[in-house]
Amino acid sequence: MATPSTDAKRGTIDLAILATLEHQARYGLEILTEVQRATSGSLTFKEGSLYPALHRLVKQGWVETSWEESDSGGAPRKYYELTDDGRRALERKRQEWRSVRDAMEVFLNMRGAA
Amino acid sequence: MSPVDQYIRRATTGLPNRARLDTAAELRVHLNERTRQYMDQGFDRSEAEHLAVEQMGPAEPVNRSFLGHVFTPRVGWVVLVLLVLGSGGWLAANYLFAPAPLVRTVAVEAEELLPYIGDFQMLQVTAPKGTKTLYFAVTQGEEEASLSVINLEYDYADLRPNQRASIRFGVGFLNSALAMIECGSGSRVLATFRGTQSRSEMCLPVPSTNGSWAFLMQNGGDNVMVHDEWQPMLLFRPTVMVTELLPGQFANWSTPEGHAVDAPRDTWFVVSVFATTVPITEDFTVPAYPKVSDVVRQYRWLEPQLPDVRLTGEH
Repeated sequence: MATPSTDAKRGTIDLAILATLEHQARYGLEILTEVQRATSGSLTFKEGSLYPALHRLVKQGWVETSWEESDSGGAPRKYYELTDDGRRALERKRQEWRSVRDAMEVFLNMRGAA
Repeated sequence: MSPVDQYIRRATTGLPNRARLDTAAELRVHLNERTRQYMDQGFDRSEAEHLAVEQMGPAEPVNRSFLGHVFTPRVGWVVLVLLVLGSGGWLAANYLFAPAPLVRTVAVEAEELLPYIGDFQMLQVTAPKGTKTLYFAVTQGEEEASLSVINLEYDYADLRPNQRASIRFGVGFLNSALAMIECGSGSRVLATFRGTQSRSEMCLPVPSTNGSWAFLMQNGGDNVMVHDEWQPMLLFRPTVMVTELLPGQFANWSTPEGHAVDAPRDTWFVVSVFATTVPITEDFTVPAYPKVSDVVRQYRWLEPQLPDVRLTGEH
């Protein structure tokens, strides 16, 4: 059984990946770069953990893959793209995240005021 | 092997072939691109590869995640070896090296002696595999005297596969003061007992409690137990005191009071053991118990020790 910290970490990575793929298909390194750019480097994780997370999302049917030629002329890359289920999962996770964030803000503000 | 190759091998080992190739290709594209980025920053190839691999983090957690469980091949092998060793040990302990089915005479332990002051002997029977019921019989002369039955299915129900019921069974003459029954003149209390809990008593017309026990052993060693066959184990010859020896009669020993000689053979008795796979609950009639004449005929080596055999039996 996974520990809560592992679940939380996994949930964060999954949400970040799904959000990164919301508007376009991307390959692994591109996803990493986009996450770091969008969060100004605040959200980092070992690059190796990206691929098991991507495989997990594929297995859940939220993401599908395709090998495509590199536009820069290099080796072909494996691109990841959201499925319809993936979009619904992203929306659900986004709402969950906001609920938690709002609840924590209220809680911490109350504690700060006390 | 380059750091990139090592990382890919460790991260993808154990995956099904198709998934392994696909994942390896994807990781290689990633690592090559990272390597190129580091080389663009001025690192040489080996340094760039090293940094690219470092950036990936440890390969084992990635491999575990790919596999979907904690058993990486190395852990899997260790667990497999431990399981094989453990299973082998368990099998050996429970199925191999089972004790031989046999019946043997053993030394009597002091605590087993305490309740009994008399002249007795003890047997230890290790039952053959599959034995459900064990019988102990006492024959006096040519007459069947008593039969004890032990239900192994009940008494030894929790034995492991390589364990065998091993039972101590004693037989002998009780001091009359300790006996629960009272016998008439000329009879003695013969007790059979198992441990200190189970005991039965009967009166046997035996002229004296002085006598000698003979172990009925094949080739001087343990007797091998087989199913459905009586195995005589003990012979008891009572002794009587006479003031004078009759013609042809031999004294075991002589004192000023007289001569000790073997009592007539119809007062001797034999203790025999019988093991069967038939449960006690089923109808089963044990074959006739071995008689004294059977034993004397079977164990010819007794004859030199029994000078009166010819006098009382076969002349």
